[in-house]
Amino acid sequence: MAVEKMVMMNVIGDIHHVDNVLKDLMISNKVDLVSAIKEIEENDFALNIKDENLEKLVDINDIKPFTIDNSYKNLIQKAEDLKRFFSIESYEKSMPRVLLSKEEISERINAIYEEVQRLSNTIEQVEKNLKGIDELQRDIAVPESFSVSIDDLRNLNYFEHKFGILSRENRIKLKKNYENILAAILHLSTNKDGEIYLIIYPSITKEKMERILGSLNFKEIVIPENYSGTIAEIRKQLESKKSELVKEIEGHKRELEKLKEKYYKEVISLLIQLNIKEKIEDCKGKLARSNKFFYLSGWISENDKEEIEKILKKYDKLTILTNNKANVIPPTKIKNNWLFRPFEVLLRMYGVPSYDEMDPTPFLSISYMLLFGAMFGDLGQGLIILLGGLLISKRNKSFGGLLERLGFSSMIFGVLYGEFFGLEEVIPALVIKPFENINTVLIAAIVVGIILILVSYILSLVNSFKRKDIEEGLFGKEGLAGFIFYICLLAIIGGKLLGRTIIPTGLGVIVILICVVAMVLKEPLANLITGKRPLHGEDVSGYYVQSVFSLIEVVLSMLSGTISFIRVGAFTLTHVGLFIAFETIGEMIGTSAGNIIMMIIGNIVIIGLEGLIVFIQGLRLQYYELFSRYYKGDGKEFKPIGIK
Amino acid sequence: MNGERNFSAVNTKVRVLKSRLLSNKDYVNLIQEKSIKEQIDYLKDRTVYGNVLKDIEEFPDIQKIEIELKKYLIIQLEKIIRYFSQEYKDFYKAMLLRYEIENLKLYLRSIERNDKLPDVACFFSKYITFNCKNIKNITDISEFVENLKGTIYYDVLMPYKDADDSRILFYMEMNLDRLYFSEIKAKSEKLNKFDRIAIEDLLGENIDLLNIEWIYRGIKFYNLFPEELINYLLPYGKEFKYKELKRMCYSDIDELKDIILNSRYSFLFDTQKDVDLYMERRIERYLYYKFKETFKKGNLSVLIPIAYIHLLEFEIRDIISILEAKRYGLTLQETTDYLVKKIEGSD
Repeated sequence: MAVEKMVMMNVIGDIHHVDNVLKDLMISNKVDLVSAIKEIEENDFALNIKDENLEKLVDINDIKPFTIDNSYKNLIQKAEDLKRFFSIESYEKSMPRVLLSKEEISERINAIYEEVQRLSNTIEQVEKNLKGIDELQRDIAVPESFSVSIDDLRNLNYFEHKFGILSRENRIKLKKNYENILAAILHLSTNKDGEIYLIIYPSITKEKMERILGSLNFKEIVIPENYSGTIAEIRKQLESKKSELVKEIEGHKRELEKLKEKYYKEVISLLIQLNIKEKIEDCKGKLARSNKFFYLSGWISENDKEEIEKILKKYDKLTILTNNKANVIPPTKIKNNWLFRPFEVLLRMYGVPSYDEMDPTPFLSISYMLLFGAMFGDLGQGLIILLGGLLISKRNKSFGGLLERLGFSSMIFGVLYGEFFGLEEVIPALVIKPFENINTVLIAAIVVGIILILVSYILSLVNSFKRKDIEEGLFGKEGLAGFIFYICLLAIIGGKLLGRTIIPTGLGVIVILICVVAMVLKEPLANLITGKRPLHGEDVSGYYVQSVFSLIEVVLSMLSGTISFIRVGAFTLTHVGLFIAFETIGEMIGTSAGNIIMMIIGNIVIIGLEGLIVFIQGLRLQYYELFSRYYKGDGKEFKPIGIK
Repeated sequence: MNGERNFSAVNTKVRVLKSRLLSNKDYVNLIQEKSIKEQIDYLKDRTVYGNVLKDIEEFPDIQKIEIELKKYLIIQLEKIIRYFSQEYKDFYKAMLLRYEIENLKLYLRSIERNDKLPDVACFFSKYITFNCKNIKNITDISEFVENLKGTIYYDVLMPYKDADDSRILFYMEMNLDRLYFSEIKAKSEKLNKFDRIAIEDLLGENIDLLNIEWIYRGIKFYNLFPEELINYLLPYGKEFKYKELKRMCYSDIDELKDIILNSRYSFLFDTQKDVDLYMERRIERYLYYKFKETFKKGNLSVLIPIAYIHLLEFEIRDIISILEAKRYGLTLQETTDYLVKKIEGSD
């Protein structure tokens, strides 16, 4: 279980190898980089004074950060453009064995880009022309009855004309002022942009007319000089021009296809190279360099140490130093087996364990599956959740995995309860029918709760021990004192309820009082043991007021926390009860079709709504009743450098 | 009304923000400082703008200060936007257009004058539609307009991009303003009835004043044809509807003055001082007191944030005017004439 042990790795190597070393480390996905300059300042690059190290030692005095090359953006843009020209959507991301230099990549990219771009520009141009024709065709879609030849209009001596579009709003403005405008205004038709007009006006009023039309946002339709005749004739001319252009585009596209075949693989591999290169540059921000060497520092898991050494062995003149830094808290790398791994999502939502804390994932996983299954026990519905999880895990592995496990747990409890899609008659109950044994279910829920709380106390003790925290461990409310207090309280109350003496009440009360005193005096007591003086912090009276009040909170939270688990039983019953409600509605409808429909609706509602509620309630019990007793979760997560 | 639920939080926030606006005393103190540097120190030490101006160095560049203050304004507006959802959010977002449009106008004017493009409050925000980083080195209007492709400004400016006309700026500015008001109008129509009416009323006067200003400038300086002038005017004015506007467009300057003098906007011409020079300021001052009144009424309403934003905008304009006035060595009296806010003795 599994917060992994971390060590700090410091690497010194030939500056020429820096890119490849980083690439290898990225592929390994096992190193969390920290600032090398800081490590050097702290003297962690302590080398033996040997001949082979001499150069490195001398050079370390000349340390500086890397200058980061930001110029990859342009190249990546070009490569992405190429990808777009070739309409490549997805590709296999295979890792290159050797990295090319920037110059090599840039030369190849530019060469290919130039060749492809010329073609794609031509295609773009022709497509633009084609679009222009399309637009013109749409704009001059006027009725056949308008048979005036454009040539006639063009040949007028004292008049000019304009075709164009007005929006509906501006058209009204024009209309309202007709009496002041000297022009013939002919409405031709309507399209989606507005109203199409032909306007004929005397040449002398040209400027005025143009300004008026400008004020109306008149969008002129220009019919190029080389088209002539009536509108119908022009449309035919446009049609033939269009098919000409379409053919031209097809020709160009075939050429492009050929280029794609030729360069496809190369473009992809260059793009991958570039992306790696860019990431490498990002990482260099944490590295340091001197004239001949680079310096790299990062956390690795102790288990990975040999593997990383093996990876880096191929580089000559490379030194790896590792040390266990005592003064800094390393990042936390948690590692769990396949069964527990999806539950790490729930843990991260709360917080990552700190390095010296126990990873609570296994306990979280087991108890969460138990609680969920108990509240939502149904063979059929559990199966649906399981299948849903399988489906989702293709997209979101951890959440899908979580659902799978919860669904499976629900199925097991379904068998125990004898429930199948809410129906109680299909399979026999192996253990208990919840709805017929309400009291048993509720009591069982509290018992389970007590067990879980006891386990949390034990975990809390373990954590305090690991942290060597005497104050909290022995006298804290989640420590030994709290633990004994809780057990005595349970024993006294339990004894009363059962009518049997578990421990004599007098003894119990005395033990409880001792625990109370210990909790109130936890700071001075702890200081007494460790020999720290003064016994109290600065504000003595404040300390006692606070600890007395927190004591009240302790007693309350112990009782309420325990009773809180009754919800597990309650939801077990709700689950059955909800379905009974749907079943009753189904019976009231009376027909078998109605019955079946209600069953289906009922199951959907229960899986969707109640499933969600139970999911949240389970989480609530984990976070509030259990985590608050034993888990802090204020660690820093291990984030290895990697590629995507 | 519905105000309690929708506006109580944001109105409280806005009232706090409003309390940070400068007082009359701040204005006078600021004007009476001996140099621009001292004025800036005053702003830094004594006002809410201290944080905004902390990076302004020894050699005060007024333009830079203006940019920082504008950014502050936009940040405030964005803060306010966060309080709303859906239609209301869209409405306040449309108000942001105004500042973009002001920037566009600045750009257009300097292109027209063949100046270098000015630095403007080039802000980045998820609500902003165009990126002014891309248009640094543009020298002609056509190229500028092409760069706006894909924004809502393109369609209204496109017809003028190749026009060769001395009035082109007037046309473009009018179109931009018209765009702003029609956006605001369109967005306000989605709000609930009570708020919509309140906004219509406020906008109505604003539109009236702008229309008057345009007609006045259009006739006096630009010789526009009445037929085109009428088409540029904004609909939805409060006092002047289409019929009155048409009459105004077809009048000469004296007739126009008579019409205005007989309306609620008589203050525009009813003065001994220069009409043209102070016209814009008179309009702003009228609106300024209008917005102040909104606060005084004390209702919870959609107008409070609008009013605050405008008050802040006017205040920023005044601060810049005060700094500029110091640069030109104006006296207290002369300075106050140029300010939106009324300081004792100015007209």
